[in-house]
Amino acid sequence: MDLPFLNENTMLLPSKYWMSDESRGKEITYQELCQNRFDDDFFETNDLLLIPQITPNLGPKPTVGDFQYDSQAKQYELQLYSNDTKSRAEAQGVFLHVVEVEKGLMDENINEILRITQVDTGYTYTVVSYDHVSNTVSLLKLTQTAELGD
Amino acid sequence: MGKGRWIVWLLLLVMTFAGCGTEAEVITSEIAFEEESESQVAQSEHQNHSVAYATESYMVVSPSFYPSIPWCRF
Repeated sequence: MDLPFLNENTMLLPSKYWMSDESRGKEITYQELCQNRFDDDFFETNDLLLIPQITPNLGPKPTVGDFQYDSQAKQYELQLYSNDTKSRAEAQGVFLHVVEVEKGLMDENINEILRITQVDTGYTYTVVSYDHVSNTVSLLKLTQTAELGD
Repeated sequence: MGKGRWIVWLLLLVMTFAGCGTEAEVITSEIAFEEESESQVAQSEHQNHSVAYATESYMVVSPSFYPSIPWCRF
């Protein structure tokens, strides 16, 4: 799959190996992830939301929090936690959250949007559009709309 | 029975029916109010509801990830 921010050779380390001595050799490529876990049967009943997140350092483990739908605003709201310690000692951490949802949850024809809030740092992103890649993966394009000062 | 007494009975009868009508209207409006309240409760419950999802997170090891997502840089 040709995604703007991921390529098939991008190496990913599953969260269960973060901070673990067993992490060596547990990396998989993005292509392997798709082939092993998300086959055609999976996409018959599910969609994937791919949500990148950058944290100020590699130490904290980011997590996905509440995921809610506001029927009046026709807006989905997903909360991310970066568990930021405000430390700037290390290099940035780059993470990918793979969120499995019911197929057709977000129908682009009715213009529903997903608002993502990085709760503990005050960063808020709003999805302005998303594409269907290979008829299976929904790729989110986010725009930063608010931020807190350091 | 005199003519005056008939008029009094007639007036009492009219007042009785009028009273029943008022009571019925009150009951009807109470029911309508209850229905409206339930509807409002149901509506507010539907404004926000949790979405079922499952998630797995990955640390991106490849450095080529950085330059192509300027919108989420610190």
